Amino acid sequence: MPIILFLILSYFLYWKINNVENTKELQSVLLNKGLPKLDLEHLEGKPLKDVLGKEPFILNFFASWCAPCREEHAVLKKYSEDIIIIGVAYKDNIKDTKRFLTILGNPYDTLLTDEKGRAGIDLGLYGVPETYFINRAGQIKYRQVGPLTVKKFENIMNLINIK
Amino acid sequence: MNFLKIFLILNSFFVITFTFSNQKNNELEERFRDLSSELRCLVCQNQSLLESDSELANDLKEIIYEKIYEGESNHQIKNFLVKRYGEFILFKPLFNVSNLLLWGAPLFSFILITFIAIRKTTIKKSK
Repeated sequence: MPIILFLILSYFLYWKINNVENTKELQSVLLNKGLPKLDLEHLEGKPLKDVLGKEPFILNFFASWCAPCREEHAVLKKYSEDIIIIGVAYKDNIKDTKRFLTILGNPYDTLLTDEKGRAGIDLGLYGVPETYFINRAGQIKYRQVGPLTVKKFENIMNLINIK
Repeated sequence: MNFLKIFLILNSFFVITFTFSNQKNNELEERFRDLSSELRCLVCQNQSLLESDSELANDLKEIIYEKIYEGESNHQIKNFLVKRYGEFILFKPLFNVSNLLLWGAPLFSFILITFIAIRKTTIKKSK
């Protein structure tokens, strides 16, 4: 009896340790659920309702004051022709956002703003940059906390196949 | 004389209102402190929302404060946050089916050990 218990416990701990890898990525509780109604102000491009549930797209939270967002910006520009990218300026001044996009280029098909950060909280946002991959049905398929790199972007696109 | 009476009545009315509203504010303040100490700061190393001064923690505290003033219960506020950030935000896990093993493990271990101990002693006695 004690040996059986010991084996069960050992297997359970072994299984848990093996699954630690999965917890490294911060998963969203909204994964595989529809995008909640977000209180976002529209600045440029197509309205969100014209894209949501019709086309797959990427929802990227960024800010002009955020240094890692500058790094990520080149990655977004590289893929801006392949997929619709909707940018949300998070807790940012509109003038600064526009200056940021003029200097670094604009990869966004639509530009929205979340001035108070409340829409971010409705999505369970940790900070910026943060990116949500949304499929044609309007469901969140992946959440990337932190800046995207080319390798990460391609891995995610292969993994979830939102197109 | 009449002026003095009116002054005294208004003054006592003001003191009573002030005392009651102050007492109510203190109660809400205490509830806010208790509730935010039960919630985890998501971007810190094992700190509660109350202890943290991070931007996200401050935003969440602002929401909690507003919701308390709007009359929402602690349960409603926790639900609001769990729906967005998951159970990870709670220091104390919810008592539900998916956490059954977590909550039941101590009781299960106690029953199992007691059962083994009783069995062993009865075997020894019968020998």
